[in-house]
Amino acid sequence: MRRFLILAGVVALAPALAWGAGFSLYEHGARAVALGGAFAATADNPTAVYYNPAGLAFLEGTSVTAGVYGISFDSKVYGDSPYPGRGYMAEMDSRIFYPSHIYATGKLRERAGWGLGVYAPFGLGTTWPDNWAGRYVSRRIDLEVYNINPNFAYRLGNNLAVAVGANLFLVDLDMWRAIGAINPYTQVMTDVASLNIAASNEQAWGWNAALLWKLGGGFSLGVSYRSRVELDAEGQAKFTQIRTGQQDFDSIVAGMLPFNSTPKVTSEITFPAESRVGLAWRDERMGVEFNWVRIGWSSFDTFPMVFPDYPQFSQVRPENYDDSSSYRLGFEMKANDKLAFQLGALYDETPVPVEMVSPLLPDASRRGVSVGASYQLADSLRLDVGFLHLMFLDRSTKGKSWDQFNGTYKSRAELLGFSLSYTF
Amino acid sequence: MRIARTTPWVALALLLAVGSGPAVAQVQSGYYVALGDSLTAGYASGGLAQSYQAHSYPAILARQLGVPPTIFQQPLVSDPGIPAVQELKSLAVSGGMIVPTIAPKSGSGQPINATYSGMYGNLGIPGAKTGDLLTKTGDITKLQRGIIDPNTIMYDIVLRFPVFPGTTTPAPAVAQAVALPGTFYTVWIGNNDVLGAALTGVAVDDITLTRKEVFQAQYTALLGVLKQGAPSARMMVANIPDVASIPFVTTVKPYVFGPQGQKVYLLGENGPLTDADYLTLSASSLIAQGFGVPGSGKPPLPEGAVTATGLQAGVILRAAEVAAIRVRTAELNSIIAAVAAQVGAKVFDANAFFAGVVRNGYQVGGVRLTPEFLTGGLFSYDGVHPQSLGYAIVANEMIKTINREFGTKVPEVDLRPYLLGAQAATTVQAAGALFSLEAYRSLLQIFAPQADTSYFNQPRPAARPAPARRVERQPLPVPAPRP
Repeated sequence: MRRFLILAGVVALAPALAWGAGFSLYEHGARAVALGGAFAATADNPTAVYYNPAGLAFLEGTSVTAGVYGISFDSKVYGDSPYPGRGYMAEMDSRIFYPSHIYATGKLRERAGWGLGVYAPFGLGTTWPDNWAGRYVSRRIDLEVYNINPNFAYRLGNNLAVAVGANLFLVDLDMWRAIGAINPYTQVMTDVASLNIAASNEQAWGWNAALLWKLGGGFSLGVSYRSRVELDAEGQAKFTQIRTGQQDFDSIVAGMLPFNSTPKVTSEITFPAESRVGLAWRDERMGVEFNWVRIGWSSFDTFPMVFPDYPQFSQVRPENYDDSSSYRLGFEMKANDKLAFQLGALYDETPVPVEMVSPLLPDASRRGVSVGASYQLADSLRLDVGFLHLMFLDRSTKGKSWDQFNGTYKSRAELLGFSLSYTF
Repeated sequence: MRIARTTPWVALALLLAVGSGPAVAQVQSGYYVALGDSLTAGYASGGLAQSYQAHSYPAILARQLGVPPTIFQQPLVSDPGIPAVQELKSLAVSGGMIVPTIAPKSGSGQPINATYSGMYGNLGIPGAKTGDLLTKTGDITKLQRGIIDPNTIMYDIVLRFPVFPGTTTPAPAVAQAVALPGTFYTVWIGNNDVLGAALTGVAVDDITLTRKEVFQAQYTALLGVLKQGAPSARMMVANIPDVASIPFVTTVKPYVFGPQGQKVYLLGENGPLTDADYLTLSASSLIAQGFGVPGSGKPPLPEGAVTATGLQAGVILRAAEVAAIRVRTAELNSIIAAVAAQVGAKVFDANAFFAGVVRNGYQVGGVRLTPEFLTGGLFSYDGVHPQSLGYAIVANEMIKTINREFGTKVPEVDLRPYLLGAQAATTVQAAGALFSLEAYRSLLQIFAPQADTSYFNQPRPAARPAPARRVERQPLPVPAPRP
């Protein structure tokens, strides 16, 4: 049990970031990542809790898997006129993120299995320089979502299994931005305050169901569905005054913003439903799988920030996301009994409409290539390592930015991670 | 001094090289001339000053169009301008209310580009009505002889010579505009054909409002001369925004607050004000002295009138007056649209644009700018004219129209320096009224020179002295910063 506690500590430390289009995260197991995320019809290790819990019914014994990813992400925005203007460039602060995952699985009886997972299905982290031109839109946002996901799987005969699960989302949100006012003395926009909105340990429930069907001839079909999760969040705002040096103006600002209290802020965030269909073929030596993942992003239509006591500060961002798909292809080959290699490729469509591409989430469709390896360290201990390179397509706001902050975002990301599995 | 005795041959040669090419070449690489009034001149904060002129919309357009600065020049006036531009002296705060003090800077500027030997590309004349562009001339030598004539000073600065040098041909704005045929013209005129009514609180035909028949004839003549003088030029005209929506009209409320915080409606000479009436910024200094405040013992606020001695300015725009201004504006705008169509000019719908800004504000970089006085970001200290950020936004909206109508791809000007640019600012504490009488007179000199405000200083004693009542000063509605 001691090992378990250490791994749980890794989970608790880990922030998350957007690696799937929108703010989904798909990286919840090293082997699946190395397969381009195509794992729903294979689902033959404890990461099945996320990729397809029906696979739990086919697992033997009791297992624990834990892993972590290191993610480096670069994003730059090249401005368009009229704002922030041609020739303007800003680079997101470099951050390395460590989203992690942990799974435990076991048998209840011959045909029934259970699995419990903790992983980050959504997340977002963007940080821009303090004095950058988009500071009135966002300086920093951190959205961390952990899903505690128990599942029950049952095998109907030898080749078909189904599963159901519950999803408890634990959500932390932290946002910073500058508040500007036209300084009447200079007639230009001046920072008069910074605003932090934070909510922590907000909770919401969802459900999931899955099916895994071994069709014969080495073929298998996996289908997994996760419901949308509707979160009613409540947090606090903290306004911190930035003095301009003009005392009379500063005292007017001090009279207009609640610097001495922490006003309540409420929001509603709908995390979208996910449908995943996978078809795999494999024999003793190799396997190939294709997954189609459809995310019901159209349910993310608004992002309200409501100040019940200060309605003048309330804002509703019309997000109007579109449903989006990703296409994932994985290939695996066994070198020998202990060692296997994986290759993968993916294309992930952005759900973010052009008007809502913003410094909060400069999202873009992306292509990815992945590579990985699995090694049986001991009879009961297995290591999976995966690497994913994501190439974001250039994303221009085409002059249509809702914030009127226009430009082209260029991003790339590298993900390197591992999962360690122990079977009792 | 010497004035334009020679034709600017270089410019002419460039024009000939351009010839009557396609629209894109004419708009983007030819000779651009802007005709208009104070909005075209880059007038702001009650003065014509280089620091604002540098960001007039014609100056921005010329830069974005790629017109070389050697070809497009302006009648620059050194800071602090003529008249000296206003500044914010202080923001007094008392009892949660904000009372800014705005007054002209001390000193005066002088023309610094008067010897330019070519024609100015910016022929915007503060105070000009449509007819003035056809007839009025100026004489820069008057300034050099120390003659400051408020009735003609802007013409003297912009038009410089009453006749073309070496000829007897009069040189009003429209003649100067076609002396060297431009390849691209913008014309934004007509604002002063209705603005006088808003500034003086008096809406009377032929005095503060131009009759539509008169306007029709003048506007037709104006565009006709341009069309005849530069037949192959491209032309964009702008129409008249709602002058009753500018901060000069919308900022001061028709009431003050009494001791219990209740609304006390102010008194005008024609009776109490209602929520449908407007007070101009110029009322603020009178209200601060108690004028129009029931029970203060001071006279009611002047309504303004046309009397035997002429136009007396008032500070009240009654609902009927605002309606009359709006009706006339709509009439003039339909004339502008019709005449523009006749000569093939495109129309920048300044009225619709400004109405949209009044309704929704203007979003830039996550910030919503508004027409609010002092804090909205768009208007200058006179409450009538945009400040540089406002002019830059107007230029960008014009560029959108130009690109749509002429098939060009002119880049919009970057707003970041206008929004965030750091200007030195000093706080000078000074006693005074909200919008000083001096500031108002300075405005009227240019925009309603015939209006009389002398009686503002010699109020008639109240007929029935009433016991004084404590009355709070008028707060300015300064909106909260945008979160």
